[in-house]
Amino acid sequence: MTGDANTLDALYRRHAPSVFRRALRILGNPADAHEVVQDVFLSLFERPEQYQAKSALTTFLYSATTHAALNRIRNQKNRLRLLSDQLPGEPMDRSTHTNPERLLELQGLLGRLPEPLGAVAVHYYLDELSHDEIARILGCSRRHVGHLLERLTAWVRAEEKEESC
Amino acid sequence: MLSTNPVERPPGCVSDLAFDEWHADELDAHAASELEGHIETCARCSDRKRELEEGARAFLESFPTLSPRTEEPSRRRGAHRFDARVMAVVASLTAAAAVVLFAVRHEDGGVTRSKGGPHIGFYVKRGERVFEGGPGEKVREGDRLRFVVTTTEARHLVVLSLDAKHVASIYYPAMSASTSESVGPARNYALGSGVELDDTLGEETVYALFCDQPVVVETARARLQKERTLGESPGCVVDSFTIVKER
Repeated sequence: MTGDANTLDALYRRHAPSVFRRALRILGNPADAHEVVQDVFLSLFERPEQYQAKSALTTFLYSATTHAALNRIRNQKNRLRLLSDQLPGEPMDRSTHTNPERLLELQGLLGRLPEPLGAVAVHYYLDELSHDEIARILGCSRRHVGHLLERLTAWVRAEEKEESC
Repeated sequence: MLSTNPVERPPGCVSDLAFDEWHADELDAHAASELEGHIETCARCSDRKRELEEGARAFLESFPTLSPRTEEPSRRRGAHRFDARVMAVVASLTAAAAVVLFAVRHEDGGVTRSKGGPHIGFYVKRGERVFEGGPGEKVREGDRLRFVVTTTEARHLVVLSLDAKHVASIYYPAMSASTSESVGPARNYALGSGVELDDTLGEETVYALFCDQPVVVETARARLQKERTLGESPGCVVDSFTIVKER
């Protein structure tokens, strides 16, 4: 990866749309999704050494986008605004492919989920990726992804139980 | 609550990740061919591909480049911050490179070495033998060079070479780095793992650019390729030496 303006621009044009699309799917709000695009690409351009070409750039950006979006949700102030911005029944951007109630539910969970379960939840529930694909993004084995999903399921069930009490 | 089996994508259908990797030319030929074959026969995936392409087109129409745009009333403050910050980064990098590469011309096309200034040296490893090299050193294909630099203050460093066929190469930092590396202060500091010389015979000049500000590596290399020399400029010092590759 080289750092001249033309190369950076080409990288942006090739990859920014998918970063935006995924951030929008997670956050449900175009303005916040665009902020994530800013954060991800600025971080990449300012510290290119973080991308060591150990994986393809696309999977690196999937991971970076997930982290940036989760950080926004975990920020309590952002989370409250995200939730109030997207009341159930309000039209969503169709590219999110997620119904508002499900997104609200998921965002509520994502705000509380510990890492790396938050990232796994995004890749599994929102990206609808296979175990193999999640393993590639997280840089771990398929078996480990299975374990993480088991932990995620247990965590969700515990939350469900707590809510019903 | 959330289903524990949320994947609605039918078995065999293409994930968005695979579409993105395909779009970025990151799939191998076999995987790309399989994906393309599937899209031709699957209405769902064909529709999804079209959706993704339309979405990408719409995004790039709104935010086409990293360059500053005319501010639109509907744009958020953050978007403006993005353009400003990106351009600040790109501008600082390219400006530093420009300072290095455009302001410098010596009448004789040569380079100078500041007495007491930062400088580069090298060691040659030939088989099991290691010896210190000097200007005009006769070297061979397959020799490994290890560079050492001395600087009394921290500098941003790029090491480039121009071989006898006038091909400019980057020797330091590593290929994956886009900008110069900060080194020093140090005396005879060894850089990375060195380089192995190829079979291009004749004179090769190695340039070390020691700068106060970061330098865009590829821009520096391209300029050396075009101009066939580098010289000093405000904020930067160039040191160089020539080796002669023989059989």
